[in-house]
Amino acid sequence: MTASMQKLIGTAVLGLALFSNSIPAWAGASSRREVLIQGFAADSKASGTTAGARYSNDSQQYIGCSLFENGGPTVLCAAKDKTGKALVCTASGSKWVAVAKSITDFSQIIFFAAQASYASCSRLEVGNDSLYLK
Amino acid sequence: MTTNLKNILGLAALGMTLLTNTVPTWAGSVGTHDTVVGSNYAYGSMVGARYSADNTQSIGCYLDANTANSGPYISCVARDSAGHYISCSGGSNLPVNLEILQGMTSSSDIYFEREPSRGVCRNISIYNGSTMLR
Repeated sequence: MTASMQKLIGTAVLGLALFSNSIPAWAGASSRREVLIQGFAADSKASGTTAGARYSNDSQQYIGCSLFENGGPTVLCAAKDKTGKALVCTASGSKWVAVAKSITDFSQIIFFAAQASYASCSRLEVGNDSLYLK
Repeated sequence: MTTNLKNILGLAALGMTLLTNTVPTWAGSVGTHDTVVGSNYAYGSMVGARYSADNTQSIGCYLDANTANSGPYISCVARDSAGHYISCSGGSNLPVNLEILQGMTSSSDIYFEREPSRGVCRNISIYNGSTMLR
């Protein structure tokens, strides 16, 4: 009985292995970078992908931007890395809003700002590329 | 020996059946495709590129706002499975491109042209529809 069970399980596993070899490995080019906060002489830089942050192994990191009304459409971007280091900035004006509106669940977000409360964003870049898909 | 072979084949089939019952069939119409790079154009689907069998191809577009320029800076890039690369860029003088890029999703089909002399993005178009879903 035990031998039969072993044979049954072993062969079922063989069947699974044979079948799984026919499933595509979804190898395509991928870059799900996690959140990184870097300090430079002028401004600090936050960068990362939405998918990389969301599906990281830690429960700390995030990156994203809010859009809200504050005498006109205003952008607030915030990021925190896995060590707890954070960067926040705000910006008002159509060009900032246009870029923030393009953020999706597969974006790479990069922003620069002084490491201070209520700092103004000096740059915001959003990339929507197949590389950043989960 | 014949009995053993029958057992193995039978149980392998059982394993495959068990597995296939957990895999959705997804029979609907599908139009995802690889990235194609031409002399002054490129097209590809986000899903086709990301989940291709190679580790090379990608396609996407980027928006960049900073304090030094007047409007979001746009660029699109693509690389095919053979490594052929093309990029284009265009500034705020082409607001229609901005509107289009804000419509990108994780399953968009993207087309763009590169104006030969200056490399400016022309005729950016996206398609979002059920056939482009993974």
